[in-house]
Amino acid sequence: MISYKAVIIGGSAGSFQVVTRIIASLPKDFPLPVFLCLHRLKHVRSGFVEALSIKSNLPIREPDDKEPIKSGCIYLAPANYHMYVELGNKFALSTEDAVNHSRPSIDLSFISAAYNYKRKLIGIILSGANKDGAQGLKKVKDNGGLTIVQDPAECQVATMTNASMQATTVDHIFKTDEIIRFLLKIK
Amino acid sequence: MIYDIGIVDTKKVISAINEVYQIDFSNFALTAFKRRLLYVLNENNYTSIVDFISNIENNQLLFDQYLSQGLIDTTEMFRDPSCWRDLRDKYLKDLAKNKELKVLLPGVTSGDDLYTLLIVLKEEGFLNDVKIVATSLSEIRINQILHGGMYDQKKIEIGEANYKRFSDRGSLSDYYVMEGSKVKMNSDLLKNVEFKKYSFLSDAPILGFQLVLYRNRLIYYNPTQQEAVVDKLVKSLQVGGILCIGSKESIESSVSYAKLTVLNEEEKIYKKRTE
Repeated sequence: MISYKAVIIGGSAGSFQVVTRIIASLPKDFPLPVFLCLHRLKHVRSGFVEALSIKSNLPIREPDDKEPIKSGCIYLAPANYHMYVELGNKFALSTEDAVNHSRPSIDLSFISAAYNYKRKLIGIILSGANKDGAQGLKKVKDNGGLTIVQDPAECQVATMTNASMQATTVDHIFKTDEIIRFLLKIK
Repeated sequence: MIYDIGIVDTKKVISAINEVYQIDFSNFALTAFKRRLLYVLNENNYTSIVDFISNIENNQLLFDQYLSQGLIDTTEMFRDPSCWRDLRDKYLKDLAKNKELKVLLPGVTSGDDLYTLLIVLKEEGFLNDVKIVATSLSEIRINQILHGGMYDQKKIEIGEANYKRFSDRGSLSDYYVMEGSKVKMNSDLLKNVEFKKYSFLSDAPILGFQLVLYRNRLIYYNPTQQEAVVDKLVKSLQVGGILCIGSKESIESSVSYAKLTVLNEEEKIYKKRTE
């Protein structure tokens, strides 16, 4: 198995419970950083991290601008900012225009992560009612990374996963349980 | 359409601009800078970076236009309404006790924070007793703000929603008129604003302010440049003056941070306690 360096997960409508289940299953010694880019209310800055943290074994943070990326930490894109992975293993935030009506935009987070981690990135797109994320997942694939979408049959809303599968040939179509089993195999 | 631009080409553009116009973008945060460069290239139908470089080298008018397109907007009026409420309710009155409240807004682009501040000052009755200095790299941007911003309606809808979370006293529409499909802010708001074409990167600091607003501008610099900029921001403040930055910006690792006290950790509001 390739030694991956990061996992990035994008989701929108119907993804909250899936994300919660995934992060609840990750052990304390999970070896990679996990980036979450989830569509959220832009004027509500607090509460989301707390809600996700309830069942997580790993610390969850909304990174500050230029914060260093640490393994075994889960990072949530903050409200009303785009979240980039910047050269030098740190985050960069941005207030550029919304992309696909979204800030944070899943495409932008995925594109910057793909650029930095190339084939050592795992990109996962979950349930969502928007096509944001499709171009990002394509970039992960084009850079040699591993691409996973949640099985559209299991998604509450399958627009996002369907758009991703149209944009690129994904490596795996997984149910939530299979996504979890896959992540637990990472050493 | 150019879909991607590599580091080598990005650096070529940066060094051409630096050579001809003495504006140094080499310490800008790379991801956002590249994205913005790509936006400018495609907005102007370039298919080659060589053509772009040669045009900016030989045509100052074009360069000015691209520079104004490239600067990133702060995106919303009344962004983070809780921050504006805090400034209004806790700090503005004290600051306004000065005979003439001096406020600095460096690096304005779309003017959202400037117009937001002016509206807050007007509602509190301080608009006549202030002196505001707003700086920008781009004369085109300055002229846009002087002409009332001419914002898209969609942007104002967001500002309107933010305003409602800020105050139930009025409405953002009290402060603008429609001109065609664009929104023109009332020009009387600007009467005590002085605009300066100025670069935070290379020009000397401007001194003596009681309030410095610099929200969501530091994010576009790398840590080296952030350090230098924070130093200038703090220098611009009088002792007792207030600095406000963006809610996810961090200045704790800057040397000048030692000269500040935290007033509100959440909203990133600081007070200068010593020279």
